[in-house]
Amino acid sequence: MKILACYNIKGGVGKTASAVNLAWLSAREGFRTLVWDLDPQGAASFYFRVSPYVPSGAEGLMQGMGLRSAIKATDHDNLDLLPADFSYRNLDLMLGKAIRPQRCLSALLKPLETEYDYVFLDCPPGITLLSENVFRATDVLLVPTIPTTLSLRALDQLLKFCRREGLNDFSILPFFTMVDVRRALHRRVVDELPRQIPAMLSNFLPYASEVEQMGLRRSAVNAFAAQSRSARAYEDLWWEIKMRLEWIEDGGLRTTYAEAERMA
Amino acid sequence: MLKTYRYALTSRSGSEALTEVLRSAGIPFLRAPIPSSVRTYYDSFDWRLRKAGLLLFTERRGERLRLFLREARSGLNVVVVDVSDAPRYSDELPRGLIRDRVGALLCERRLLPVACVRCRGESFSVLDEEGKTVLRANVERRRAETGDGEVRLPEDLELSPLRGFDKPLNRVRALIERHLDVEALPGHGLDDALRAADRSPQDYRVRPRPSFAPDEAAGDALRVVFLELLAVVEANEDGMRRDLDPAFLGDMRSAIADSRALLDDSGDILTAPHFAHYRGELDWLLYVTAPAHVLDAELGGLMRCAAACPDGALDRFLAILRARRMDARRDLLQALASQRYRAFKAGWRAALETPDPRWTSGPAGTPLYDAVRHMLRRRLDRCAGHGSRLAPGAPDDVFHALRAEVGRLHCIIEVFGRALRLGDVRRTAGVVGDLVEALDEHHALGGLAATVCAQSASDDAAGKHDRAFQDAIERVTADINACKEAAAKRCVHAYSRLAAGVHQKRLRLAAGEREQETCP
Repeated sequence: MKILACYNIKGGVGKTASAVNLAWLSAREGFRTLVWDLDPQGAASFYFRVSPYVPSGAEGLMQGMGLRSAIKATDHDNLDLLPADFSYRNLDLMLGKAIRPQRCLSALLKPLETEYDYVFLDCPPGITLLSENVFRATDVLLVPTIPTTLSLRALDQLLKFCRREGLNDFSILPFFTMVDVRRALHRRVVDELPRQIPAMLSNFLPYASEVEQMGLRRSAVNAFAAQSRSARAYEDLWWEIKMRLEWIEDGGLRTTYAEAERMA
Repeated sequence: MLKTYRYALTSRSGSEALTEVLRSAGIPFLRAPIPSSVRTYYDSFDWRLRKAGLLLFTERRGERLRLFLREARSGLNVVVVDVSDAPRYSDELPRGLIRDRVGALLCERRLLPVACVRCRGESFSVLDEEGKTVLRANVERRRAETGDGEVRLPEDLELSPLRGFDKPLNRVRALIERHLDVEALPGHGLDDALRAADRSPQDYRVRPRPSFAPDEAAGDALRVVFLELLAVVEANEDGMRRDLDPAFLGDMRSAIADSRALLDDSGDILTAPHFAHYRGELDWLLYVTAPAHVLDAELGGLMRCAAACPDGALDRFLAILRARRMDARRDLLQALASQRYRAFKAGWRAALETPDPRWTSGPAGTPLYDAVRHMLRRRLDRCAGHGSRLAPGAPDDVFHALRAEVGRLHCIIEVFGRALRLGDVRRTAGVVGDLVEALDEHHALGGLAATVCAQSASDDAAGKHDRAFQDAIERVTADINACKEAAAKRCVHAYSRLAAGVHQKRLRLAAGEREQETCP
């Protein structure tokens, strides 16, 4: 089981859309896939038409109760969802009370190891105790980044945080989202940043209306607009992520924050 | 536990009835026609997937081909994936769980289409207040393909639950059982199709295990075993002729070898001269089937090695072996089409089926229990004789001699062990089986090494100096030798397990010896 977290300190960068679409593509390829909507806003749950409700609540989940029974099948084959719950807003408080507060998420996901090939974590923004749990649990941190100054600053903050905390046993794969190639700044950043951060994925997601339509259709882009530019971009991105995962598994490329920073 | 529910609809059109039931209960749903689709079920020739409780099938709807891996017991899909072609071998399966689970069961066996069903019907998606599907129901009119045509199956209603949505399933199920004229269907779609084709999943046989009474005449019991073995030969003939899987020839040969071995072992019971004739014919059959079988094993081994070599490096060698295999198969098919083979089968069957005092009187009348213990004792002694010379670096002859003996010992235990309750000997069958497997592998690797070596020498003699090919050959030879060494160690380990302690004690007791005589 590989755990991939869609995470960024900054909000509104396309974390949920990326998690939903990449998970959908993974499931379509026959991989058993789970999306865990960790964001109390419950956007991923909304996209999959599942009520953002976990019977045991965040507290129950943290105590290891009702995780399996909270999992819901989506309308798509091989794709399940662990829905959001409003009580997730208190996750940090609950994690703080745990004996190993930074390892709770990995311990919770451990029993699902044989059930799923990929688990996508749709994380809320911010750097909190939950984020640290995500860093400890994940194999790959997918960081959707808009090619703007503030987004790049957030990426820089993330890299610095990981270095300071000594979090170096996962790979960080940033990628650009909402790229508007008509804008000079976007073009320049998309062109230059991958040279500075080799871990940066070369495929990016264009700014497109199909992604916004996900809210209306309540489904993944590839499910309702398979021929669109966004759908193809998600396919290319998923292909590149799989390639990177293979390289990482083979020990060929393991780009961590330290390497990324050194190269920069 | 979440599971799929299947019902046979007995009276009226299922779709209309289900629509009415859902409407009257105020349950929102979507109804869509299922276009004509063809569902083909796959399994290995020896039903490995079915035995493991899995169903693997493709469903073609128009251009779209989907592959399903389903749990037979619960009827729930494990994985569903779009594919471009039906897979034939495990390495053609999509990566992920489907390949891991099916591949581990199949090993190198080929996936064969075991049943085919044509379906039409309608699908129902029961929705919740969010418009999400919480239950799927399919009403299908199905026709199973049999050898002679198509057989209509009862119209079936299948309720497929979705994880986390138990309540809608229970509600709709209760409504259906209360308001519709339905009959719960046991099993799954494959069972229906096999029943329609008058087949049973276990219609493939390898080694017979009939039941006997201990005081039964040994000759008569052997006659039953020979009949079963002949049936195995015949059951594998078609698959072997059509070249569906090398295992058909392998199992056919095993049955011939078992018949030959048992005839040999029962030489002092079946003394009539005409048995000598059949021994000779079985020898001939072993002789004519050997080349194709050996080449099957060599090709399989070489293809595994080729995966580790640069692309195409061994293509020339593989082509040579394939050509040799084609020749060997042609000769084999000719032999099996010959008058001699037909006469052997007819004569042997007649000899086995016709009541004849030669099977029951004189030495043949010895109680089976005594006869088997005697056979076992003799075979154990021979095994001990060859086994004492076994060591990882021992010459191949030692391994070959032991292989012949242990194979026969295994046959006796497998065929008679259960029926005669020879102590706990059945619990030792697994250890003997491990030894047989290790010896077989050692033997096959030895054969492959010799073939590779011969090819290399023949290239040298012909003055062919293909560097890439020679490099690949060297690499393959090193791989084979390493594997052979590992197989030799496994043989020694398996034999030492068998020759010492509890297994030896069980075998010796089963053979009728006293405990103090147990150490070889």
